[in-house]
Amino acid sequence: MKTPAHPPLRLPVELTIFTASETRSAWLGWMADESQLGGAEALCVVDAEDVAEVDAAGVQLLVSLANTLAGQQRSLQLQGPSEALRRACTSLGVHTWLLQDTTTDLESP
Amino acid sequence: MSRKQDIDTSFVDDILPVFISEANEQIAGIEQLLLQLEEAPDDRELLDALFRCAHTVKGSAGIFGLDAVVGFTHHVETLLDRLRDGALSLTPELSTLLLQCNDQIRLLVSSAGQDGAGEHGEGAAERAALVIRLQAVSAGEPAAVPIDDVPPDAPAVPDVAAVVGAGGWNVSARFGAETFRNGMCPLTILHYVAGLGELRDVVCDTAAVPPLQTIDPETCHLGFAFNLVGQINSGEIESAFSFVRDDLVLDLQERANSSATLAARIDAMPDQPRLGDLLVGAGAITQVQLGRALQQQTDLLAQGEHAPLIGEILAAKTGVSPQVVAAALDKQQRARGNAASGAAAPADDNRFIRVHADRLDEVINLLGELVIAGAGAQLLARQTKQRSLIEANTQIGRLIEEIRNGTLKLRMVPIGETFSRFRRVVRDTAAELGKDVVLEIVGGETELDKSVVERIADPLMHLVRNGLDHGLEKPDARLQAGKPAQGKLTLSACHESGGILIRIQDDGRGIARDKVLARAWERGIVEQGVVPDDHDILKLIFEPGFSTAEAITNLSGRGVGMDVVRRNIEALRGTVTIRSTEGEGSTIDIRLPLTLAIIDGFLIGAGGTKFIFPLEAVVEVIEARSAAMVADSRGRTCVELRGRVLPVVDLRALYALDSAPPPRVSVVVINANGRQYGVMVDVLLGQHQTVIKPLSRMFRSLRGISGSTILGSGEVALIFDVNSLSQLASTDPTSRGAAGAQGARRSSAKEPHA
Repeated sequence: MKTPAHPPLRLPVELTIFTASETRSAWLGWMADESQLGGAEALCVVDAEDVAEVDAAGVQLLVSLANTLAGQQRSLQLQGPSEALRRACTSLGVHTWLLQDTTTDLESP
Repeated sequence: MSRKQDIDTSFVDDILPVFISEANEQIAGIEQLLLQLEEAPDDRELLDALFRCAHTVKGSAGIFGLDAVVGFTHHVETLLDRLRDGALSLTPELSTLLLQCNDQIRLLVSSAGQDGAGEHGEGAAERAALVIRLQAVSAGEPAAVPIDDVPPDAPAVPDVAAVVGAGGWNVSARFGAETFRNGMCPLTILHYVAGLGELRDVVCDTAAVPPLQTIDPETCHLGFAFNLVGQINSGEIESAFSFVRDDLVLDLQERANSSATLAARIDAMPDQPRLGDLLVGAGAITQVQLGRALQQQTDLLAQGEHAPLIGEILAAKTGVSPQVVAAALDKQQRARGNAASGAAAPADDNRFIRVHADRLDEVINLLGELVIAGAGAQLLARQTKQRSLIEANTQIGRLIEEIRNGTLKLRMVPIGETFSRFRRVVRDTAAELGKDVVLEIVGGETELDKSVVERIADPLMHLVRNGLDHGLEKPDARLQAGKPAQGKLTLSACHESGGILIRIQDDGRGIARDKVLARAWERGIVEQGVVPDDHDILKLIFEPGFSTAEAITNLSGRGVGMDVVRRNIEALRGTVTIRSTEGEGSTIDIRLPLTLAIIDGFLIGAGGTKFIFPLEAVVEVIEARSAAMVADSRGRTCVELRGRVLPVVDLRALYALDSAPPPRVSVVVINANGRQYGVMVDVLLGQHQTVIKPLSRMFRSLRGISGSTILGSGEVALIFDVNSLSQLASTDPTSRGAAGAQGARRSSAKEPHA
């Protein structure tokens, strides 16, 4: 049977320098859990609806996440990116990379 | 998250009043400066201060996220930047506009942090109107309130301080690691930049961001590249990054600006001596890029590696095309040529600081005392025999020497300015005399001490006039002699073994020896019938009261000139010599020391007194037995040196020093005036950095001594004037006696009774 999927990562409401440290820890934890549960998909879907505040440090962290996933031959997909996040990514020139595929499909758990 | 927000808000609430009060100070400062500037609209310092006030307000407001203040002040700041660069001038209308803007800034600041304040709060409409006017002024419109037309797209006032990139810019910005920790955010900054023009094709260097496992989320790893399109100047872009400037690596390149355009722009610029400045001014590179290239050059040099030329570094690092670099080099050469030939090269004002000459002299004086004190400390240190102390003192001595060299350089000015004054003189004088003469100037960029330059100007002028008057023939005489009708007078200057050589050369008729001799006999300067050798005949010209001119012209021939010239030059511790070939021309060589204040000396002792030779004059030292050196009554003797006879002066006899000579003495061989002679001394004491203290008037007539100095031990040492000492060694007793007597008569006549 299919192993239960690890719940997708949700980006926090505040993705800024102020929360960067704890966010990183949270993500590392999430990835550790994910690999333990063995549910790592090639496409890592991340829920991006909640992001209300974002700055360059936050986007940098997101880029770091994408790089990490790329190292595992996976790619990041931001799902339902909030307006704030979308704008920030565009301003910082990462929109084509992080936002290419913004389908709202979710891999069925 | 909300808890964090609470903390943030209370923090801001505490500090905000501080911001408001400090900002108000700046705003008050702006008003004061604007009022002051109404009296002195070009005062650079005031304009700088004005910009800084606005910049500070904007920056602090940015920290508090007071976007309304930031946004509005930014427009004001942009205009102030152009003012301080000289791109705009402060007219009364502009002053009024700025005062109105300042009022708005005050309003915004006072309502900072309050709800409902900000861009859409009170006064929004006025601010919008002011912004339009500010932008119009920047575009070259007058600052008076315009009628409601759309201001035409007037091109900005062209200036070379900040270049308008019409095609836009390729910008690459790599933010430093501390950017976040310093409270800055690249996102905000990019938003700013977007406000300057059209921001396109932003690309982030994502590969530089480390993965989650290793990243420190508070360290910034972000770098961007983008295109900025619009009529923007490089300074505006750079100032957008000003708060992160220290950490940032910023590259600006004008787009679609062909090398040809840049080269043409370089050509049109005022003369700049430095390649880097030329390229920055033309917009080929930014100041930041230049700074980095210079740093790289310095680093390479420090590592002892061959450092490429700055042009090469720039071409490699910034992509400025070789054609542009070549254009700049060409311009630089021409500028140097201009400076050398004395054409009016506009001074590079930005790089200079005006310093009162007296202050500089004070520093140099203190430096002299420092040298002496250092020598004293060195002596004491040696006595303790403590190695580390001696080493420390040696190190200090080295540093003092470096400071000395550096400080003395501060007083150096190029001689070209003085030379170029002569062009006019030559032109007018030649015309007056009916002669056709061209003045050629070589080595105008040669530098010497300012006071030397000032004091050499008159003697030079006299020599030039002499050359024009006596040396150069009229055109028909020249043609008859087979020379070109136009005579040539060359003024050249160069550095030569620790001194300066100034040469005045003409291709005239040369000095007629027989005439000179005849006049010398006539005046009794030389005994009738005695024919000195050629070298000395020429030197007779410098004797007082001498002149072979049949007709005394306005310019020369009164017989006072050459004597005074020589004395002036010797007062500068210089020498003047003449060489001449009859029918072909004459060459006058003036040799001057680089500086009057400090020299490298060679310390010796004789008869219990210490003396110093200028080190540059010392050739070698030989030992002799004192018994073998028998001096005549005048203290002269001689010694054989490699098959030649060397005249030697015995200081003991010369200065009547009491005490018996040691069994072995040394003879210091000195080179002066093209001749060598020896000086017998008791003991050699080595090299000594000598601060020259002039002799008081009482001792001026003392032959052979040009100054004194204080040694580390506190003793006074006398400094030799090697030229007059040589005369004492070599002149024959009769004329020396006469000259000595003459000297005595002259001095007793001049000096009042002590």
